[in-house]
Amino acid sequence: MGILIYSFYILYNSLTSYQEGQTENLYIGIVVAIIGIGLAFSSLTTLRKRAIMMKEMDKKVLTVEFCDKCSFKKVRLFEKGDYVNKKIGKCTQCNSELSINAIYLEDKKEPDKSPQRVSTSQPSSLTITVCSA
Amino acid sequence: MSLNTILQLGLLGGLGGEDSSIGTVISTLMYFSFILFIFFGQKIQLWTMLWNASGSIKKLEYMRTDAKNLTLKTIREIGKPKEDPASRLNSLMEHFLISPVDLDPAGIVPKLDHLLDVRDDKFKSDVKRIAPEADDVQVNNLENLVEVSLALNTIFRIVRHFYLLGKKTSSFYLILQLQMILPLVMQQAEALIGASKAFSKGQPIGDGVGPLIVSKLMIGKRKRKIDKDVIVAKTKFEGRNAIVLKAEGPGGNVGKPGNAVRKIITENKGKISMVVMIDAALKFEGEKTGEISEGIGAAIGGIGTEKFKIEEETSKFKIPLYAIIIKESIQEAITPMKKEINDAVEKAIDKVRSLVKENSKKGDTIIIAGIGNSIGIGQ
Repeated sequence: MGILIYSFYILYNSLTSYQEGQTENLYIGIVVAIIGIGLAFSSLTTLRKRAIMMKEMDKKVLTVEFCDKCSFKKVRLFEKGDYVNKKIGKCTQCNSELSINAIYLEDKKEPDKSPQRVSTSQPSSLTITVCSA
Repeated sequence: MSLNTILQLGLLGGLGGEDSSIGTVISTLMYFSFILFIFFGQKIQLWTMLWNASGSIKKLEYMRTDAKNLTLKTIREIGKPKEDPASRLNSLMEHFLISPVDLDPAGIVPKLDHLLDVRDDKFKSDVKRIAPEADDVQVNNLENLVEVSLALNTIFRIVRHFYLLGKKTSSFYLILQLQMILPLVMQQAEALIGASKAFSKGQPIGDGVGPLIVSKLMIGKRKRKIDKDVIVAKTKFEGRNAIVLKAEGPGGNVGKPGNAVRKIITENKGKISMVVMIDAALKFEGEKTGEISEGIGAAIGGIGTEKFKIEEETSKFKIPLYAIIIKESIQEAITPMKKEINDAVEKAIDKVRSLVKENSKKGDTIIIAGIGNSIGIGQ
């Protein structure tokens, strides 16, 4: 970022010198500023790419527990041994069978779509419970 | 602070200034670089390309080691081997398959199919040997994990081979070709690293969307194993008798859907109104992940043996073959399933529903096949 600002500063100064009649300084200034801007953009792009990659790697896999009878839904972090259609016991709301309905990679935009009723019981392990009743 | 001040202060390395002969220096440098590029331009380009390729090779080597270490860790954790599995894993990572001779291509598919069966059995038994405590589901997942390590090892060896060959012979065109395909190869390698993490944990991957859709149609129905690693169930679907099939889960399996479709058609004496195949397919750049398309033909990837069997059987009995694909990229296909792909499940079922309504009558028998790897997807 510093290189970028400094490059623009050099460019500005060379334009000022050109107005004062120093043509040679203008050319040198332009060349140096272009190199500087190029280098700055290249490193900024690399940094941005790395940041996006880190963000992608940071995504978590979620498991959705669902009750077909009362539509009780619980979203939690994936645990080893989880698989889609696995029966995991009784529903806490209606006592019928609860099973894993979906396993997917966390969508960062998800919190925007607020469900009907959401309660978090385990903030440290990301557990979202949705009950449509 | 004017440019002159900067130059006088030496902030630009002492360039410029009223008394300096900067113009002469720059023009001499320009002439020199011009001559240099005329005589050594290609050489300089070759060095740059070799430098880029060597960076990618280092990255590939790191990925290969990473995948191998993860495989070893998972084998030790799940399989609890008495001996060190490293040497056996090394030999598995060098495993290869020699394709049958294709000078006379007639009848090559059964030969290839046989070789693939032998390879699969050998691979599975080797994995079981190095992970004796693993159950069947875990063996399937471990097999997939070893396959990923093998693929990364093969990519690394091939890229390194062409890099060293190009360097040895100073062949500009050899290195140029390598450099041209490297971004795609790196993309694939990065996807494989993502896949290794999914396989080690048994998470569903993007390719599993076909089995996932079919598994929703199987809920609460009686299932049976019809062929190697393939499960079928009978269900009522829009008033039709649907025979739905998928690879056996939740272990990492693709099964042999070709054999299964053949058996179902034979069991029903060819009286099948339509076959619908649901699979994940590669999207073009710019297309949205999870988009659904409908078409004609056998929607199944792989080496082609299963596709051949399905096409042969359906054409023999003149059964219409329909395909529904869910679009995703190669990375999305082998890394944990994205939400967009999971969200496509219901839309795909609706698509199958309308396809079945339009192309068959009530009471007809139809086949719905979910194609793909069923890791993390039960039935």
